[in-house]
Amino acid sequence: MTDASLVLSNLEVTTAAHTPLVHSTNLEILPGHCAAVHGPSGSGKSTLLSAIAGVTASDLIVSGVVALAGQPVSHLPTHRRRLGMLFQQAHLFPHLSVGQNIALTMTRRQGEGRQARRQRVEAWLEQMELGGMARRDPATLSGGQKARVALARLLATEPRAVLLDEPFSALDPTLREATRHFIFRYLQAQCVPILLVTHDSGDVPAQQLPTKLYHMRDGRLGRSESSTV
Amino acid sequence: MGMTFYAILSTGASRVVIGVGVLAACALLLFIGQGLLGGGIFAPNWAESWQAAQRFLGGPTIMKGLLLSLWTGAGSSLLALWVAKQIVMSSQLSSGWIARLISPVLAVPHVAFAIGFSLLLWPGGWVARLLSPWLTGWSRVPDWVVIGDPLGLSLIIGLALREVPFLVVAALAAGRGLALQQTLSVGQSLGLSASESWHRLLWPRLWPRLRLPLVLVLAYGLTNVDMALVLGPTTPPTLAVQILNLLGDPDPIEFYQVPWSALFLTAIAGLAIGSILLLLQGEADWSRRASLDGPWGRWHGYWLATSRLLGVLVGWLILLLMLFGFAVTLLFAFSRRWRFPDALPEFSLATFQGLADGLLTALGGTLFIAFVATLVGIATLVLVLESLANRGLRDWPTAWKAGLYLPLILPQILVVLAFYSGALTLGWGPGILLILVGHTVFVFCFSGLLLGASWLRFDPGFHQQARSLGLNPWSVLWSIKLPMFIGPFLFTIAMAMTVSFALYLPTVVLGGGRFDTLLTEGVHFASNVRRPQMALYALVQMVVSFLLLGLCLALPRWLYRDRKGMQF
Repeated sequence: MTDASLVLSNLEVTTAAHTPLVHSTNLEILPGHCAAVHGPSGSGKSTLLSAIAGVTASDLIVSGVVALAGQPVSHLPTHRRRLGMLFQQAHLFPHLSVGQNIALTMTRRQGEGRQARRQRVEAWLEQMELGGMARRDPATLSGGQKARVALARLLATEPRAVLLDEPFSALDPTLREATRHFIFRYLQAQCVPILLVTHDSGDVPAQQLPTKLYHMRDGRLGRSESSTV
Repeated sequence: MGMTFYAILSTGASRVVIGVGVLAACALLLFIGQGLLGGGIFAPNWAESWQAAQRFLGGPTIMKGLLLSLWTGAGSSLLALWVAKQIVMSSQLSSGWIARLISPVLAVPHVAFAIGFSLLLWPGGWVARLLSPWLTGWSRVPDWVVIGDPLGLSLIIGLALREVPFLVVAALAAGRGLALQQTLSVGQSLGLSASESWHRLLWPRLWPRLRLPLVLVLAYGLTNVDMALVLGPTTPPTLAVQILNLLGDPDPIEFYQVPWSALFLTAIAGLAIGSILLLLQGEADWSRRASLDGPWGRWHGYWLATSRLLGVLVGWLILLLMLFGFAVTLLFAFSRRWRFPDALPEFSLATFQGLADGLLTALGGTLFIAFVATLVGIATLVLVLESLANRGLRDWPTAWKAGLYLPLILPQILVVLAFYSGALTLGWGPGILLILVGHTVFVFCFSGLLLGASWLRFDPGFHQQARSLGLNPWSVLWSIKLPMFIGPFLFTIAMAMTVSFALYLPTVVLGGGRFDTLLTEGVHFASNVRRPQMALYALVQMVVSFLLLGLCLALPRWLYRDRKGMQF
């Protein structure tokens, strides 16, 4: 096991009536690598991701271990796991400006003043090619811009692994390609384990990241035939 | 730690509320048991209790009071439903102005509305003064009984006009998920007129959603005390007022009749509500069947158009009454002498100066009770809702919903008496603490029905996103959920405080009649027909309620004026 890798050991999700939604799953994702889980709707992909992040509904039972950098995190509440997650919808908080969305959860640094924090937010926006938009209302952004703000907000928390739950499926085809390219380029630079679930094989970042392909059916995770790209 | 404490607190709040509910149910059963069989604060034994029942049922005014309660409660509710239906139809088919304009009337406490109404319409009221002597020929106040008439007509009209805004708001909220425009277009493409489409296609789907709000209106109309004390007849008064009189009677023989009379009123109100709902359901079924019989005739079309016009006119009348009622209340509050038929009084601050101390005490008491009850009630409610949301629930579970509706549907006098006798059994006498408990229970139930469903339907994606970004549950609540909910949340706070302002029986009975609020003092002056004094108390109630509602509606709009995603 590599130090900064994300490891799932016998991770299982069942309903209160013991119906399995995700069967015992074992997986290791190395830093800077991506595991892409492909499968039809209802196969348990998003449930697996929720179980790793700790955001499953309270009536589901999760067992097994999620470990990050060799330390189990599955006993920790969601906000202490430091697993960043991007969803199908950007879910930018509508009462906050673009800059406030990023600043709200940005990692705090000791002795950092308000001005320095503001500059750091602006730097994130510059990196996302959204410079000068800190005061903008999120409702006025395009779908691609929202996705990039969501990415900046995620990366500003300095996550130890990134979970992507079909983050491109709400975008139209022209935006989708550009946004996907953009997001994976940045994630590559973070050198953290990435777990992507998608029902569209076109979303797999084979060109940018070392990627292992998996498929999921009826809650069972298996390696795809062309498993490494 | 944050998670554990949050989970303990939110689950704990649910358990406390369930515990209070169980205690209240026990208090109710104890009240029924002791009231009927004897014991506690009531008759010492079964024989005396039974004698009290016979005295009550044989009383000379009971049957008349009962008939008055049924007539005024049912009449006002059905009238309010009919008017609200026409206003909703009109606002959904054309301009929604009238519906939007009368919605704020909801914030006016019932008694303040009733006082304004009586000051306008009694034979020496402002309407008569404005029309005299040039139109009426009156130079003295005619000896007519308009307010408090023996048939209860003024009570029916006052109650109906005050309840129309509630039903309109409830109907508009219920209609939001009904694909209004599409349904109307389908109807019109089938050759139906707009009104016909509304009646045939929309109303049958809207009606089931309006049943519970109508039950609340019926329950209040049949059993209220405060409006009946201001607008109702006195010889004899409605049954609920007679029970209140029995409660204050120092003669124990009279007092022993209280539980029998409260249960009698509950049974009759239950029967009446059930029968009216059955009748209205029958009418709805008949209309649905009739709507399949091809196009309606020309006369039916005329009737629809006439009723729509009448409904809108009544809507405007409510607005005018509200505006003129406020104006005349203001005039009376600052009048010294107002000779008939002068249109304006001699202005003076004498009433205000004479009552300043009492007024400030009553205002302080009103705000204190409302503030504490709202703070405790809504904080508990939010914790309970969070605990339900964490269980993945998207609406109140049925048992919770029943528990929230029950105190609002049961006659308030029964609920309050159950609290009162239960507290006395535990050795807890009437006082401010008991008032606060009573107000908090009503505020919790009302706010739960107002806020619960939308809170539980909050997009869980925002919650998951915030948690995965590292926010603990408290931060999600404070930094994300409450700001995103600020509109409905502040509106609920305003309405919760208004509900507390309007709770007459819980204040009078649970406080042992020793605590003055704007409402209790206003009712006291109104039942003694001291017009400048009652006007002053009603005026302060109206102003406080409007300021509160205005602030709670304006604040979120101002705070998020440049956020398109935050629509209120």
